[in-house]
Amino acid sequence: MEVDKGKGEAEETRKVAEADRDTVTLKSSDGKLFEVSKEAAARLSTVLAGMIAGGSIDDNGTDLKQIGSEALENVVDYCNKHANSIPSAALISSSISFNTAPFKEPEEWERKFVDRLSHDALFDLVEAANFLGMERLLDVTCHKISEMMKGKSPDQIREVFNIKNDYTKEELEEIRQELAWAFYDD
Amino acid sequence: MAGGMPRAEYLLAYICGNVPAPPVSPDARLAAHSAAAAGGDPDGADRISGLSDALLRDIVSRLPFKEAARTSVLASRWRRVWLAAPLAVVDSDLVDDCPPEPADEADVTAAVSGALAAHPGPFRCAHLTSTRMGEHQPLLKRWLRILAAKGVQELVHVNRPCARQVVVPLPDTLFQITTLTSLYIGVWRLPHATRLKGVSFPRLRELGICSVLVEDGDIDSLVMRCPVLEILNIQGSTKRLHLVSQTLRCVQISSSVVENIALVKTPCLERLILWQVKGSPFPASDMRTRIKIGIAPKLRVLGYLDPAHHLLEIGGTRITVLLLPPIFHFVHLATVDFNVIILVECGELQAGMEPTGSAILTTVKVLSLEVCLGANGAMMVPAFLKCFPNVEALHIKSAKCDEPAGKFNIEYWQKVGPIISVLMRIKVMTISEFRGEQHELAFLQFVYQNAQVLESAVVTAANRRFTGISDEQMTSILQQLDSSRWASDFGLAIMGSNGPEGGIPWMFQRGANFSNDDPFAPVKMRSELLFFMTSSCLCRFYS
Repeated sequence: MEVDKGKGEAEETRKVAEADRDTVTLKSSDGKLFEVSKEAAARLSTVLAGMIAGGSIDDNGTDLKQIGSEALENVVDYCNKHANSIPSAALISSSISFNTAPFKEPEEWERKFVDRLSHDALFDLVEAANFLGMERLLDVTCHKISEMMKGKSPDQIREVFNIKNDYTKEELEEIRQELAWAFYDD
Repeated sequence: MAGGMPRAEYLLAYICGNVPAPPVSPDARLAAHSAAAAGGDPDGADRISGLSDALLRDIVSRLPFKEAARTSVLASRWRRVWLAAPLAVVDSDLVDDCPPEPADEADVTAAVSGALAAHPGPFRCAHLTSTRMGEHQPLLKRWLRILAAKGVQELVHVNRPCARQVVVPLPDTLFQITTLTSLYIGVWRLPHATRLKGVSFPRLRELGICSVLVEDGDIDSLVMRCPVLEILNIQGSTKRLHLVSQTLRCVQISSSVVENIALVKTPCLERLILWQVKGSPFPASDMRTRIKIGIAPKLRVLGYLDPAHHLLEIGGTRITVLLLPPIFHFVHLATVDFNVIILVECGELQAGMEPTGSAILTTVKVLSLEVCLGANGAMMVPAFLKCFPNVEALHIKSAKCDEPAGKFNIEYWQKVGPIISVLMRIKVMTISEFRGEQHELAFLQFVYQNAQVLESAVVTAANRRFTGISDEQMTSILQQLDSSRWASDFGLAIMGSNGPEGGIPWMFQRGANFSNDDPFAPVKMRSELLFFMTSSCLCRFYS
């Protein structure tokens, strides 16, 4: 009896120790390793949450073959910053987001976080966030991209994003006629 | 609406400030500035086209609707993306000023018509606040038909008021939009309830009615046709309101003349918030709003009760002050040195009577009162407080007294006798629109001297432009308070106000935000913020 009880306790301790590890290791497509807060990863990424819950996290680095090291570094950075950030609903309750409003405005630090990214790094991050099911990070990055489009003419937008115009001149004219109300001040 | 343009536009601005904020903010200039930094690389790859349609729809949905439509011409794929992206038509996005300058009006109206017609839906939301619909009644019907057909979820539809405008009837097409989850209407005449036959809004959670002419009882009928309604906001007058709803959690009434408000059966109601609610439009009238609290077992947040303008009735007992002519002198009133007593109508006539049993609401934790502490309304304060023995946060909005009576001094308050909530429950006490008057100080001293568990107090001074009292003077006025007799060691913050005289108008978003459990508090009372405010040292910070 005594022995059994001791063994049970040891097993219990080991399990607790495993669950207690508060970081997970992620491995980028080019083999670099990154540590990230387990709590933040599980909270911010549905995919990582699923992997943690399902036990498919590898202590030697969980392979994320679709994500390059630069993007993964940003993901990890974002998770760790999120884990440490203080909610801004501090003093005066003037900014209220309605339950029905689908988009939440990014916080100040989140804006800065995406503002410093290069064009390519931003899109790598959107793709990584999409792959990992990180809704909040997708919100922040998509918001940034939409801000890059705001206040610009279609020509300027094409230029910023290198979008190729595949319309014929006639097609383009037709659509502009259809949407004349959207182009009245051009 | 007959007050001329400035007044009408003021009303519109107030209503626009009071409806839910649109989901897309047109901060284009700001965006253009920051986007310049992350500008395109002339030789770079087309990264954005590598994103999925779902992500592109997400991005397009975040643009003001006109700009969203313009992405159609980027490339053929973008046209499909726009057509499939849920549309948010916010007409104020089109112009710099809300409401728009008259010169822009036709363009705005055309763009809304164009977007509603060109996009197949679904419409996530439509915020239409810029058009004088009285001049476009056929268009109004068409818009509503399209919104119903394409299933809009959130609708804010405010008729832009005109100077010499007759009231515009809202077509009953509105009642066919059964997909609505949130509806705010402003400056209309509501179709009569008989047109409501068979109508229901099965998903409507939030209803706002601003400056809408309604027939008596029509709001009640409308509420009954919303089986999941949680929030009801009314700005402007209605004769009476008799609410029966299994789901309502928050009712707010602002700037309104109402004779009668009854919570007949509202088992889920948590908040009843009244702002500038009166019984008569005439200041001299003594007609008061009767507020009858029937079945409301979850009512937690209540205010601003105004003793001078409201009659409170709880569970069939009316709490009232009877102003007796001097000829009445009851023998047992000997202890009261003025000719006013608290009368509980169904009970016996007794001076200083304690409301008991059904006249007590134990669920109310957050209470606000608008009261002139130097006039007879102050006498109702103890009676009101005794009706809500479990109040933990008390917020007083101090109304201006033209001729304050000298009798409301500290001796007066000492004679009031024990009030359970003050003695044992109140943790937070704030006073706003404070002018440093002696009667205000007397009341503060009474609370500070008796509140055993008070943790934090805030005094918000009225705007010094109206009081002429400088910050330093205000601080020294407050230092007259005798802190050696205060009952607990609480944090005291003194704040200033930049608002208009009488306080900043109430905004519905504030009261309907359930994540804030005390919507009346001027600041969030957080213990970690109170370290720098102690009762022994008066600190100031101005908002």
